[in-house]
Amino acid sequence: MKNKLLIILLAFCGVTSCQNVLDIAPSGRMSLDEIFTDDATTSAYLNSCYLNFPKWANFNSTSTNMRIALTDDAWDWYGNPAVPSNKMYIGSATSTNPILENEDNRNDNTDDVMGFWNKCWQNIRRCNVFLSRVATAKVTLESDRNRWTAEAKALRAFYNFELIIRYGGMPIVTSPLGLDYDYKQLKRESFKACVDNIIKDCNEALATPEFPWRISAGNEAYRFTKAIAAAIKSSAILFAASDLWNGGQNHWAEAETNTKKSLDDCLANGYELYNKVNNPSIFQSAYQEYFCSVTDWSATPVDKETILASTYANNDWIQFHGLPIQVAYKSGLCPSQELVDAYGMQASGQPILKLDKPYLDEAHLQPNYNPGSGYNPVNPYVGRDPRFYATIYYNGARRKNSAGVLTDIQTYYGGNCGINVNVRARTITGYYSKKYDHPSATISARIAATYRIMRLAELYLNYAEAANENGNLAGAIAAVNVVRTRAGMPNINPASKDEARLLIHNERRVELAYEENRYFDLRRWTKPDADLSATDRYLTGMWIIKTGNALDYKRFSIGDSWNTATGSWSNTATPRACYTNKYLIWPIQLVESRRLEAASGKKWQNPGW
Amino acid sequence: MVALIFPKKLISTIMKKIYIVSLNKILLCLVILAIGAGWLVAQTKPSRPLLSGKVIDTFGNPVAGAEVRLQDSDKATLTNLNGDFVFGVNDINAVLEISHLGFATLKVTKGEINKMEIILQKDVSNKDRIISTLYDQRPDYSVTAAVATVSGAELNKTPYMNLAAALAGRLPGLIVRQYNAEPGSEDYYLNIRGMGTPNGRSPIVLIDGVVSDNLQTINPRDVESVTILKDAAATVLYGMQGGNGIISVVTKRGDFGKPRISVNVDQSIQQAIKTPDMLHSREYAALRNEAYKNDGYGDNYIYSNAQADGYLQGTNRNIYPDNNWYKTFVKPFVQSQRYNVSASGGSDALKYYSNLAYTHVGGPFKVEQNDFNPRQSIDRFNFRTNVDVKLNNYISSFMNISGIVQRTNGSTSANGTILTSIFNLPPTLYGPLTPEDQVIATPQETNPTYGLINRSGYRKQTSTKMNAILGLNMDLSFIVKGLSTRVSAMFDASANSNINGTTGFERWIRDEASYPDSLAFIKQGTQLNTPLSLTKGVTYSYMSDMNWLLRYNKKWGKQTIGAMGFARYQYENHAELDIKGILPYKRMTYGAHFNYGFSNLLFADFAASYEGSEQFAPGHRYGLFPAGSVAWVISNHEFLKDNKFVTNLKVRASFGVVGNDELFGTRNLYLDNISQTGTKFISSLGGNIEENQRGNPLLTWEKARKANIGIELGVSDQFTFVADFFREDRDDILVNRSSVPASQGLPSASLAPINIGRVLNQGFEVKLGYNKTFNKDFSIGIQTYLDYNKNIIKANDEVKLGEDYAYRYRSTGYNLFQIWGYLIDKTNGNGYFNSQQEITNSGLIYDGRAPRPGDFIYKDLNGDKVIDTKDIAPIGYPVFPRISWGTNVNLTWKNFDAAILFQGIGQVSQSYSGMGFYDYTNGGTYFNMHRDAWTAERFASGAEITSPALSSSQSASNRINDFYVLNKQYVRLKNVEIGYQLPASLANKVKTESIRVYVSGYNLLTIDRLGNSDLDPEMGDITTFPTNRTWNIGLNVTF
Repeated sequence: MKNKLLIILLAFCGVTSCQNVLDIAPSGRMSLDEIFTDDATTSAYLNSCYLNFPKWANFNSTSTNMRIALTDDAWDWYGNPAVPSNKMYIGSATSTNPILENEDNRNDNTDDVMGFWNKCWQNIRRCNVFLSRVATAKVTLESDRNRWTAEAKALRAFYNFELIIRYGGMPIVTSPLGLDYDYKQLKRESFKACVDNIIKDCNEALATPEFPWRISAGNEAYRFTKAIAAAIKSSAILFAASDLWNGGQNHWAEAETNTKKSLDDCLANGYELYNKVNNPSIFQSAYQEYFCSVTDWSATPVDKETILASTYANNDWIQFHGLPIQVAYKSGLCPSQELVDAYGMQASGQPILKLDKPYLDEAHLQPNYNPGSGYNPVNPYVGRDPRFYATIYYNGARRKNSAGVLTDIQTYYGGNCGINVNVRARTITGYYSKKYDHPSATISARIAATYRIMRLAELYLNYAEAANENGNLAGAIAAVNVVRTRAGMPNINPASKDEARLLIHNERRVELAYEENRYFDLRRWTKPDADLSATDRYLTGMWIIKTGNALDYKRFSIGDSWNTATGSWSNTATPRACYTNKYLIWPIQLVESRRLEAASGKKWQNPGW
Repeated sequence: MVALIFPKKLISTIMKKIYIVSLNKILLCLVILAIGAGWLVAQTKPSRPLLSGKVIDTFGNPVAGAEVRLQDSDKATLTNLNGDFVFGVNDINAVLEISHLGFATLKVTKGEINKMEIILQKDVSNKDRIISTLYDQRPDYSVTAAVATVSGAELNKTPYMNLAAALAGRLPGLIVRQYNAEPGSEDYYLNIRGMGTPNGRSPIVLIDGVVSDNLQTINPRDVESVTILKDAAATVLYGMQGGNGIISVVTKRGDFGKPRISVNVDQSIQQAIKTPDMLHSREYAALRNEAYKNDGYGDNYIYSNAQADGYLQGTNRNIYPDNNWYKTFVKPFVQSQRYNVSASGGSDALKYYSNLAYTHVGGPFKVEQNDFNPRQSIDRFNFRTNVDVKLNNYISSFMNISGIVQRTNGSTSANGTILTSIFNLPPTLYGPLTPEDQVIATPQETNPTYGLINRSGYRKQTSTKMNAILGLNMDLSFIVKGLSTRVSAMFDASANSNINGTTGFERWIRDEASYPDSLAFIKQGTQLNTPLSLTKGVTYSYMSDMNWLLRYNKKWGKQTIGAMGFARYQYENHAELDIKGILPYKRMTYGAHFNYGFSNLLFADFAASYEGSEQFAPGHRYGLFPAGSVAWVISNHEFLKDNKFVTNLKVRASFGVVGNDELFGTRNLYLDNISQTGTKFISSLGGNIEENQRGNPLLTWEKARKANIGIELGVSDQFTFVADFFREDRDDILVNRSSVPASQGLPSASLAPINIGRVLNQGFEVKLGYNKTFNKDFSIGIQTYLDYNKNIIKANDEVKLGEDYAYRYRSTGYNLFQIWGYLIDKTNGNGYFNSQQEITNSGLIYDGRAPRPGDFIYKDLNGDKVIDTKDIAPIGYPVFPRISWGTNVNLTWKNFDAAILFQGIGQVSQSYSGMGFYDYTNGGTYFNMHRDAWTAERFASGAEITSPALSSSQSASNRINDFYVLNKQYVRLKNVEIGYQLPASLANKVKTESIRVYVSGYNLLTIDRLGNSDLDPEMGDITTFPTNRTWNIGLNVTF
């Protein structure tokens, strides 16, 4: 009987103790190790270093391009307090309210609240993962391995650069942090140390023979090149030498050397300014045509100026920064009077305002005219810098309307594009933006234009600024004049470093208007303990009153409106609140700074937040 | 003959319904057949009248439905309505056990009973009641774990096709909340003892001892009993799955005796308890103007005075319509019918229970389409056959086969979508069709209700589910006395097939701007009126469960010992086509259970399971789950045995560890989830690698340490009292990393989650009963219970917020899913800024939109004069009720019986937003609360203010705050059933055993504290289907 029992028990155990019952079928899941055992997946991993690459040119029906809207170049308003720019203007940005970071989130899939911070760190990590494994990865061609390595380094430099100009010096992370990483080791480095690291990555990329200077085939479009690495290097050292970030050190000599090297290298490798109008029946200047074109990827491109193009060939400009005569959705970023005032006179080559003190009053309502410029305040839009006509729609400019008929744009009160602070589609400054608006486009037949993130003119201006600050006045003037010549402006010839600085800064503003540079330029030119009250606090527009055929040009504070019946201003203007010292640097989102502080035991948040 | 029994009115109602739905015809045939068969059976004389008796109570009333069982066997029969039974027993010394709920079990020898009246004594404590626990059945007094049971008869007093609905208010410790009230698709959350984890919280459901997903579709009439297993001792044999408790359903089986046929016919009407008030167009126009005025747009910004007059006077309703779209599209009530025929009986060798049920539920919407049929309807067939076969003295087998065929017809649009669309149509809209018969849309609602109901096509869905449990019992006493074994297997296959006939329709918008005084329409969008195009979709899922167990029982002297060991293999392949469904779920369990009893006084149980799941990495798959429990039946001691006051006294205690492997509702989190996607923007590189989720190779299950102490008391055989106190400490809860800095480079959702969460959940259940039979004709029974649970998050991967935060943790130290929001500062009397001056004086800066007069004043908790997320505070009660209770009253008077159930939940809140609360939603949608929104005039006049100032866009008031967090507590008259049993003499005259007619109602009366006249507290929000009240009339005939 006992034997029988034993047999039963044995059978019970035998039948039920299958070792493999819980083994899952092959799930097809990949591990990171497997990725780098194959040429295709290794290259695919490099591809993901471009994931969520910032597109810039950010705008749609409810959002706005913050790095234009938050400068003294433009004002975006359409009466919706939820629009991020409005939240910024009223000063409601906090470290828990990632208004600034949201700007770069459009059109990608990482809309978690952390925004740009996450995006940069994720891509830095991807580059680090790639770089830590590419040397041993199974790659068929050594030339591929070398090119990919250089490419990942340039990408890492790019993300690091974009990170530090927003948040300040950051830890230098060159290998992927494991989950068991001891965050006590993590600390913020100085801005210059970060830039040195960026330049090191760029130099290593530039020293790689397989890394090309230019992409010459469509199937490689948007891949990184040596020119991008050179441009990152040029900008990075310029930022490091600037007032906000130099930490009291003088890095201008290094800046001049590096910016010159970058510029010369690009010139030596086929980059040149877009100098020729290919379609003169439509475009008045090469400068205008350039911004209404799409980057071409060929061995002999028409556009040899663009170094880094946005992946976003935007054809919505006409809709979201449009004109009422085209029945646009909204007027979008309306150019400010301050930007208009920055364009000099073509004949004299002189700025219309004295650059050292352009306005006599705080509210910018009393311009401090430069007597010799030839500017006529009662006929303000004649004889200006050609770039003005390529960038701004003003009263009297002409454009095809929605029916295709060439029409005078009337921005005077009551005109066909008349100023109206209460209507979304109307200008609130008296101007409309033009830079990316193809003259032949209509709302129903839109024409795309590529947004340029880096281009050769910027390298000239970077060098000009560095050379001037380093005492090389002649080199600086020569570089600026190359840019001015392309624009159709006479040469400048300042006598002093200080005079040259004002002209160079103004040149950057005009040449790079609506290209998102000024946001960071204004900040890096500001000392760490200063603020932006001179530029960003009070903005003005031009309210034109038409009586008969007479036009009365009234400078006014944006937000006011003129009551014709009473002959008085409504006094509803509110100056911007986002000019104070803390707005020089972005906040680290509170949840992240708390995490970092808890993990590292150090303070991370930026001043004022 | 039929007409004799059925009241004429009911017959005509039934007949009418029958011809409405063709399927009913079939059922009518079945009902008639069954009645015929039953009648025939009643004619047939029992072939072996060996032993007969009559069971009565102390008042001499016959006890119907009492079980008469041959001791230590499965041979049993039930008494009929007169308390009579007949039983075939050969052994003259056989002992019969006679038991019935509410009575003490009586043992008599065969010799004592023949032709005699057997008197059962009342026992309101039900200590002899047989409780089905895991792999075991035993009398209540010997149960050491925390369990609660309700009989199927009790549940069937709720006139619903969904068993979950009937469970509300009947089982202490079980919390039932409806989350979908769509007629025919009602769905419920069921939780046992509150929440112990943020992850999967559903108890597992066993039907006849096997894990099932069938609770909401099982035919309630098939249910013998439902038992909830609450503590670790009760659930430990499902170790890794038992953490959230177990709902165990046992279906009916056949009894020894002549065939018994039972027919039920129910007719129901469902109507919404509350529907949102739809505003008159003049009121709507006035409120929209008010909203724009509040935002500074001036008077009459949207509607001119002339328009407002037009809506008011209504002389031209074409131009100035006033449409109540809810009434236009939604039926005032929904009809349903249920038919049920069951047969049971058996002999020595074979016992059977067989059932066929048909349910029809009509649709909620008014349909005008005739080209195809988008009418909503649900037709469900349930069938079940449970058979027990005795093959020889050692081997018996059983087979439970059940199936469901459900056919659903309706529009291709989901009912919820259709209902929501109604609220997007303003009352000022002309429609629903243009004079040319085109569907009218609005800029806000491009999918208007009429089009969704009538012009979107139809969908016909057929779901079939087949479930079979087969098993073999073998008595191994030829090897060792007391040894037996059982092998069983369950197979379950579900298939779901959809036929979608889709049509497109044009949308037209009234051109009011150009033609304010006439009807003119312009076509909107590119949609066209298109003919039906057919598509079909099929899904399939499969489950199986294998069990083998060995059992050994031994008695010596006063002691009993039991040992049981088993092995179980579970396999589930879900229907989902994503990561959850592609690969099957597999679990392997070994378990053992030892129990010891000493003379009906002391019982001790120890059980352990060793369970593995492929959710975890090899080497980390198996876990050991032990639990022990004891019970001491004090009242069985000599000194209390014959005490007339303390009739029952028992204390219980248990402790054990159980687990939960429902982690984030996904699979195999121990593996990296890295995928290669298609070409992104660098085509030359040919794809991206996305690191979606890093795996945690150490991934493990949640471990719940559960302790329970219970006391059971019976007093004077009238009062009963049961109390249970529990404490559950659950750790290793899987949480997402929220303390790892994002600068690590992986998004927090992609980081490997880790098992570091900990939640403490404690509470109690108390149950009071009073049962008394006053005389032959009148008895009363009252059961009431209350349960309470409170959880607190002890650990989470949470970073402490800065010192300038009013509250520095958002989860640690609070209950699960705590609502956070702004507190309204009512120190000025009403909590609103009543003037611009008041805003200026306050000096408060609001993050986001600045406040206007009429917006809420929020408390600046950290005192920095800025109202932002640093000021948010925990608001209200948990989103999961802490209190749940039920009171059940049963009355019998002569042939009448009544059952009344009150049910409620308490200490529960919900945060509302969007439609119904935020008035700016969808271009302005207004309900009762917005009628008296803040205006300067209303404030000045001192009138009641029920909502912040209306706005044309999201205002400073429209954010989570204590105004929008409502108390969802309610008291419901959940269920009433009043029945009348025809006198047996009358029933017998028409050759039936019994006839009972009854009327019942569900959700009859509600008292709540929501403070919102448009919402029922059990409803999701204003745009979801409202909770229903049901009226039912039914007939039961037994042969």
